[in-house]
Amino acid sequence: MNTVTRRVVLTFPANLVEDTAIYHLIKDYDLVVNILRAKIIPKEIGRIVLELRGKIDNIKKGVSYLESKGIEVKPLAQDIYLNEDKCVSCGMCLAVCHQKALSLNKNTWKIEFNRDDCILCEQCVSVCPLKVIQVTF
Amino acid sequence: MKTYEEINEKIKQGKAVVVTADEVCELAEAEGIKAVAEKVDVVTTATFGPMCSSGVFLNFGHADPPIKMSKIWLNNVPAYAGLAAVDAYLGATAVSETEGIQYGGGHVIEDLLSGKPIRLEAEGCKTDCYPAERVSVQITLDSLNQAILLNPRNAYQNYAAATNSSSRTLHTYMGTLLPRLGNVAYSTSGQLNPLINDPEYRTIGLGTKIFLGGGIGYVLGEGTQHNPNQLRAANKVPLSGAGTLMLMGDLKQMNPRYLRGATIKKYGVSLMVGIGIPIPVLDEGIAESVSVRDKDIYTTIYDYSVEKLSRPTYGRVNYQELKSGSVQINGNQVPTNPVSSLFMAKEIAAILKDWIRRGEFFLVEPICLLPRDTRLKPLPQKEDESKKDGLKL
Repeated sequence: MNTVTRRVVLTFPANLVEDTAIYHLIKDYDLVVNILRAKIIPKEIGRIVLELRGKIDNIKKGVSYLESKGIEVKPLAQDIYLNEDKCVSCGMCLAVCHQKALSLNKNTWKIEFNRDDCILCEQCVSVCPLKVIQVTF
Repeated sequence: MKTYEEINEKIKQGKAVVVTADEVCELAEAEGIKAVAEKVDVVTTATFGPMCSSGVFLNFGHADPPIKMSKIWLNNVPAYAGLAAVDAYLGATAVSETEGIQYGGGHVIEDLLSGKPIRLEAEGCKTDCYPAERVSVQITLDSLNQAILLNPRNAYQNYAAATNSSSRTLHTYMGTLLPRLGNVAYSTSGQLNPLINDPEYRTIGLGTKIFLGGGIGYVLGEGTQHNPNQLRAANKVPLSGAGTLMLMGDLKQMNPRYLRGATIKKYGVSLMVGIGIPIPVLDEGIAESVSVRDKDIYTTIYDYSVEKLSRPTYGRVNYQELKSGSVQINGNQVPTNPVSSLFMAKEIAAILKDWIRRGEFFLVEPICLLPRDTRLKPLPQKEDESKKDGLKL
């Protein structure tokens, strides 16, 4: 079975932020785990942006395990939104998007957002002069 | 040789040949400058980006009982009130006294234009003719007697590109500048830029009719910091920021798509302004100027980490290189990003072209062209005389 990579956002309820779920993903489900971003504060809702690599079945089982514990698992970049009607494609966001999820189409000169490459670093959110990139988290 | 009258007659008859500053480059490439001079009547140029030196004159109408407003706030953003009783000037960079740089003059202008109600608060001194001391009311664009956009400095003829050699991220009016030459930010639309297409100011001056903020506007003359003496290349195009324009237009007929309040991170508030300027192809010299291409327009890269008025440079690059996505500095490829929108500039050039083609927009010959001999001076560095020998009371 092929190895695949999935990027997900885990949301931990306040009572689970000190849980050892990540350890079990590695040990019990044989997944390569890469933490891209994390915000964990004791007794508060926590969030981790994870890259999981492994066999597709193991990823599915690992995700089910997390969900059974009460941890919400969502595909990456569902929480971020570029309002294309209001965006003027000035290009200021390009400077801070190291993943190149935001790019300038050289034919139309319009900013394009590729969700698959976004790791939710949110740097574009504060840099956007028109505040047209929003995070719903 | 053509005259303004001849071109306007052709516009009236629907026979004028109008192309954008992008399209004229293709024609010049294919058929040469002579063909451009013969075939083309008008070339439309455009720019869209944050232009801090912008603002609006407002007349609110008189209150009952009347008030002579000496302090004015619009949605908590202070406006200049040192004018007659109910006149004000709201500058684009004025900052909200409650929200800081998240909201400011630029946003009030966009909100007014979008038809949103704005809270006007004013204080005044009681006098015999103006007895009221305070008002707090809602106003809208419709309730104002006048709302006249008057921008002291817009449409820079070229602009320096910015980079950062220091080890920390800088937040500037050129956007985020990453440490250790992490990026180069550039502004201006290159071959679409209005004054780059008329580098010696042969057609632009007091009275030139333009696209401003989605409506009609006019050039009043040179803008503040107009600097015709900037170093120039052989094609007369300045090698960094040079000429500027003062523009005005009735806000009431503009469109909020082309006037946008902006917050530049850790810098402040600004107003993104959309400008389109038609250039009549009067002769071969102008045909050559409007055919200038990105690869022949150079700007200078400055190091914004040096906190001096005169900053060190990393040489010159052309707009073809800047628009390619990376430029070379010290042998390394450095990513580039614009801070003004080419997408919107192209849209404006196409709209203005359409207005002229449909016979809705005629050219106005300026009464007086932009000066070509003014010099840009810094602030005098001389110490205040009263402080020199200690405090004198």
